[in-house]
Amino acid sequence: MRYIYLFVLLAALFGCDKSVLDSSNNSAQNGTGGSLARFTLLGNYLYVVEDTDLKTFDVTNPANPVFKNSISIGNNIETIYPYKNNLFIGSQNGMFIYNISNPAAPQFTGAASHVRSCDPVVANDSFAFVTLRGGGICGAVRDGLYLYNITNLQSPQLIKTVDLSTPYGLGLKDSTLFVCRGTNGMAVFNVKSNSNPVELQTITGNDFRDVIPYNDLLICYVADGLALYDISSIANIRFLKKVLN
Amino acid sequence: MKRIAYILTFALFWLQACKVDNSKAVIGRVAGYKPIYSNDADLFIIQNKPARTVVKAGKIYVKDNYIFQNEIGEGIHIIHNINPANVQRTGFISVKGSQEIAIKGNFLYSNNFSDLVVIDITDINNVKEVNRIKNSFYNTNFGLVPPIGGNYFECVDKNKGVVTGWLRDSIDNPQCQN
Repeated sequence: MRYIYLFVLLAALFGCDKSVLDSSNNSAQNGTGGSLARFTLLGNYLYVVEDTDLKTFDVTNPANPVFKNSISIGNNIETIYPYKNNLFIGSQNGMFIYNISNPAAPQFTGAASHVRSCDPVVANDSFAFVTLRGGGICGAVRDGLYLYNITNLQSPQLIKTVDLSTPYGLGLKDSTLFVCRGTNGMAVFNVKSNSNPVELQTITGNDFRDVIPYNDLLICYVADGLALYDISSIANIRFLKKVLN
Repeated sequence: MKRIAYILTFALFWLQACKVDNSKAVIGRVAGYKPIYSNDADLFIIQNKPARTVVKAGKIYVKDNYIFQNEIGEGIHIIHNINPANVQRTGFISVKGSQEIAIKGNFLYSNNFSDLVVIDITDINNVKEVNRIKNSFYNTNFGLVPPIGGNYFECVDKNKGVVTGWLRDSIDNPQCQN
């Protein structure tokens, strides 16, 4: 019996020490950015959004990017999020979807306009999740999480809004959506039934700005540093470590 | 009669002299932003620096066992993450004007002011600039407009150097606004 205790203790010790990062070698692969990014990689292309333009660079030879084109897409563009064959672009006036079936020449597919606000986007096969935040330069809008059905990419349909004060960046891992809410914490939603997100909990104790779910690790950009959480079990999200600024 | 003709002719010249040049809007002297220029070649040197504290925290990026965080306008913090329980900042890559990060394989893309710069990070402690596309980004957000929207500003003249900051001041007839 004593040996069993010892074994459990040792397992616990080593368990704590092990990296929660996937050890698979992704050296030739693209990294992962947060939802507030203006640079994003998809396949062999680097896409950059500036205030009004979407710029495309061919990085088939990653050391030698080749500028392909620049498309004027709107005003106050802020963020870009890649998902499968589409780019989801957040502006202060709405969300734009560009198809990259031809990756060197993104094609406008659809848009959903909304009142002026700051609004990063993440998406899965059938839904786009957008947070709108008013105040400051972001316009006077009611803060919230907006869900668009994107089954028809040409015509995103707003199907649900969830009141949520001070939302910033957001991240999606499988059916879990993490929404940073500044000093109000980080809301964790189950979005398995996309049209009806269920708030599971709010993680407090940090001023959350943006988040990257990365395998079993949740990397949070918080006001005073970086905070890491183990999300291998969504029912039991564990704080791991904070690197202070 | 002759005198009236003189007066009319004079008035005509006078009116002509006063004619507003329609190509330039007359705004007058207003509060706005002036670009601060620099021609320091060091601004385009990409190099490793010791780990430092975060002052103006920017965007985050993750690749394999490293997290990167932008130090707005200054460069990129390197955070080694092989063991999340003991994660720490281990270094810094100086990329002046930088606000963005993306990584493909061993190559990191960022903006060095308005240039797209490619940095080989195969040896994270000895990074090297391998490529640069000058003036890739021009229309905003990478230093070419003031940080706060809704203001008049003196239009950027790239011949004067790189815009390293903005000074709030009274400016005459600004032709740019954001």
